Amino acid sequence: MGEHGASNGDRDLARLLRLAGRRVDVDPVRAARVERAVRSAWRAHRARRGLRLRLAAIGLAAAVLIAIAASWPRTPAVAATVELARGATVSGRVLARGDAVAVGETVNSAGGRVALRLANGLSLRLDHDSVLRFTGDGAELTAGAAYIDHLGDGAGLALRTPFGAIVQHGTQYEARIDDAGLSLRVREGAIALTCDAGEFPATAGERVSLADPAGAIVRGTIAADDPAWDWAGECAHAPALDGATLADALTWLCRERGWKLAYDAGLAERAASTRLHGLPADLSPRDALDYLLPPCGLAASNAGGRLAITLPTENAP
Amino acid sequence: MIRVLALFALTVAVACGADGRTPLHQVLDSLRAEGLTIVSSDALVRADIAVPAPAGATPRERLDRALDGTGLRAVAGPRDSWLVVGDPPKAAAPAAVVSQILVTSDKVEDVSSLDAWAKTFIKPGMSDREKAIAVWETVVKFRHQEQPPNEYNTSAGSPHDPIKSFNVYGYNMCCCASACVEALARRAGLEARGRIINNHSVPEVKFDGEWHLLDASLICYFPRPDGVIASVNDIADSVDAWNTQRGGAMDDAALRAFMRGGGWRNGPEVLRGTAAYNDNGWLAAGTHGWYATMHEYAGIKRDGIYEYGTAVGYRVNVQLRPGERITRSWSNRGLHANMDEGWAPGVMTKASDVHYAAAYGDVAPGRMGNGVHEWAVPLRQATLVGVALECSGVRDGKTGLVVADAAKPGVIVLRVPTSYVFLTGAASVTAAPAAGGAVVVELSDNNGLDWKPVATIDAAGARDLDLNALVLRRYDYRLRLTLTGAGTALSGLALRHDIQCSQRALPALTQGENRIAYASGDEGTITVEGALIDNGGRNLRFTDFHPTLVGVEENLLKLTGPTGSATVAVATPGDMKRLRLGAHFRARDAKDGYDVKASFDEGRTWLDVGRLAGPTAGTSVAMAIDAPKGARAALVRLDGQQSNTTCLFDLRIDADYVEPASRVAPVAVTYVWEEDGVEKRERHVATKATDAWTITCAGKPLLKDLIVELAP
Repeated sequence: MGEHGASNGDRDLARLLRLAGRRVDVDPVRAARVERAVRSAWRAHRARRGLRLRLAAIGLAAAVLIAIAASWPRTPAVAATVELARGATVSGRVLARGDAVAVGETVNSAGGRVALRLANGLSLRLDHDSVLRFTGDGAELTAGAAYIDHLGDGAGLALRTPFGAIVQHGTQYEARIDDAGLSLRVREGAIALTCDAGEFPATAGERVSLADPAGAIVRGTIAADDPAWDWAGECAHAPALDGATLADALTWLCRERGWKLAYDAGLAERAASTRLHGLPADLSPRDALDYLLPPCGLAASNAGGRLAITLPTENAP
Repeated sequence: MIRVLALFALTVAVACGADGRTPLHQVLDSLRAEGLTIVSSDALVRADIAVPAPAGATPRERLDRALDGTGLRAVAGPRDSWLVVGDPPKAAAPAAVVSQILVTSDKVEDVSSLDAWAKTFIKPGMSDREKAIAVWETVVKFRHQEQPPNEYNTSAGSPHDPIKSFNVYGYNMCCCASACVEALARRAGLEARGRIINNHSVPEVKFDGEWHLLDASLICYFPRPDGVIASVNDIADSVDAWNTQRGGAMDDAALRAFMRGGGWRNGPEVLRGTAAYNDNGWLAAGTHGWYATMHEYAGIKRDGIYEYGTAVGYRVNVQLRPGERITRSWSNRGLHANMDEGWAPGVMTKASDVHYAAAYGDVAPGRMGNGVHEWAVPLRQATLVGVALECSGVRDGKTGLVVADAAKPGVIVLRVPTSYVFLTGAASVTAAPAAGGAVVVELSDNNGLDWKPVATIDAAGARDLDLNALVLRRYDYRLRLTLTGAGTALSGLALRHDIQCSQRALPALTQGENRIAYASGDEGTITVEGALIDNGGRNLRFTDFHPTLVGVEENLLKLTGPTGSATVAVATPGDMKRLRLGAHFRARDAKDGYDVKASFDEGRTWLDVGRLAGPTAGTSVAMAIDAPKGARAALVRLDGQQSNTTCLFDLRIDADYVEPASRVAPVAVTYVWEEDGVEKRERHVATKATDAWTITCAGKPLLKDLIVELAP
């Protein structure tokens, strides 16, 4: 029966029904079977129609999202990620571990300290009352102190100060601005300060002070384990050491503390093959030795910045 | 709280083995999951430390319980942490196999190997004659004329290797003794050959440009009137001339009568100068006399040259593995290599048969000895991994080894070598097979090439397994235990063997001071030796080692055409040091023979080892080649050529290797003897590779046992 013939058909059907009288009751079992069949067919139809509707809706939504995304303001590039923060803020918001700091933002450590990790792996730590702004090509330190630890091969971080710009070569160093001017302390590797007075390189163990951008450079020395470095260690964020070898853990610790690592005979191999388990994630260089050595059945002595790994006295031959 | 405890219990239970113990590091992980900061290292918390599931109301209490008995403890660390510290529990000592254990006394010469014999008997500056006499004396000293033992892995049946004869048996027959003389003479750098005479076989040794008879079997040789030791032909000429002069040979009764009362001194001239006969014409052993000599040399062929030779290679190598103990006794229990055949050598019971031997330095109370080789196999994975040829698919359980993975069988393969022939064998196996699982025991006597079923154990308990028929007359076998089924456990394995040893070569004691020396080494040996003839299944055949035969028969490796080859593989469990080959062969034509080659790279290249060269009706040679560093497998090939007759009578290949678990370890050496009916016992622990000590016997000792075992 075609659609065009439906109205005529209805009328004919009505007439026939009237002529036929009251309808005979249908067998309930048969009725139920027919109902199930009809309902199943109806559901299948609905499902097909629903799918078509959903596809159309998804397409529409995608178009809207693309349009919104195209007109949305771009997020500034991430300059660093917070590894440890105690009271530091950026743009007025208090920083927490895992936060991202964007290019253009200024970190203010205020009375706390903050440790940041740059995308190139460099560790940047700020002492109390430090102010540092990330620029597109580096960072500007305008107050306080920054400690930079870069093991990578690249340029590290171009750090500018009101006194001059510092470039580094695989190094650990500190740049501090205070009332006396700018002081640079090099713990490892080498840096170069470029200022109005010229370019001044400095290598491990050197301290360079500058009271005025055009003034005279004053040089001095500083030991790798000088207490002046302690603040940087206190806000160091330990790498994932749980499951690491003792040798790896000690290497990290000695770098943070400026110690030279030495082993008694046979113990280097033992340290390289001994793995540690259960170390806390927030291991600090200050108490790391207390965690690391006793569970390995080892001890240490420290003289003149040389950490010697030994057997405990009762086990020594 | 209850849920936390339940979680802890569940975690530990999941990690528990069948013995209810959990690796300590897993227990610590579970406690960390409950919030404890526990810092540990695998230097102290070793993977093999297992503990029962710890009880306790708090994680801290359970930490202490877990560490109980481990030698470890928890101490407070920084910031509420707990550090696991303490004395590291002693790791299981590396398993040790101590090899080449040699105990000697200053009362008995060292004849444990051809090299040891040469060092003892052949001195710098000796003349060739003196060397030859030393050879003869050695054989006289260390073997007695007797019905020989038969091992059935040589063409003669009986062992002809001098070192084996001296150390394992101490008795044999004329062909064996001749082969011994020939082998030692060659080791001393002298030419030697065998001679066929009437009802006897004798050796000749060449020195000063002549051949000389040195009969160690009947304990005689005969200086000519010029003082030179006579050859076989010299004796035959003299005997024949005397018989001719007398108008013919006398019969046996007449000869026996003639020799009495010094009558033999009126016999053939060459026989008159010997010191071998007593006044009545009897030789030292009393088994033969002048009359016999007259029979043996009368009318013989002057060119009857044939050697009942030997494929040398045997050497004493007493090895000890953890749990192993070897007892050698100056007595016997009536057990010998042919006890399954219904006869026994006379020296088993009649020590008087060797009455003459004291004059040659024999201080043993008898000749045939028995001993016991026992091994209580330590069923610890760490030990077996070093000692067993294979230990896989098992882990340490509470009382032994347990199948580690239900999907894979556990396999333990043990090698059981001996220097003293196995006479009996018994294995006691205690197992607990899981439902549907089993412990299958198999034995291989051909270096693991084939396996014979011993038993399938599918019920828990101890089983005694009879290995007698499988190990009789063997010197090396492997036992394989295959464990199947989740949880199937092996908690006991003990092996016991009766062995045979010659009392004569044991390091005896005498009244007074006795200087004892100890030495050990690192070598083991894998041997390929089997009969080249049908031996009725009474020992291995050469073909049991799966040789590749091309153009040669299985029987005597006879060539079926002008050329042919036999190639056999030998593999060692440690780095091979050398290959040694001994052969007794025939190559009648000068062009006949076998070229012996070895390959250490699966046949890609071949190195010349030597040649079994003709012409000879029968002779014996020994050769060796060093293995390249790191080699653990070799192929040995004999390329034969034949224009007349080429065949092998005996062949032995020894691959010496460094035992992988070899190390110097304390070895306890215990002497047991009696003085005036009172048992004396002296135990000395040798802690170094060489050692020496003194044992003083106040009275004449009746020697009982020499026991060696690893000291705890």
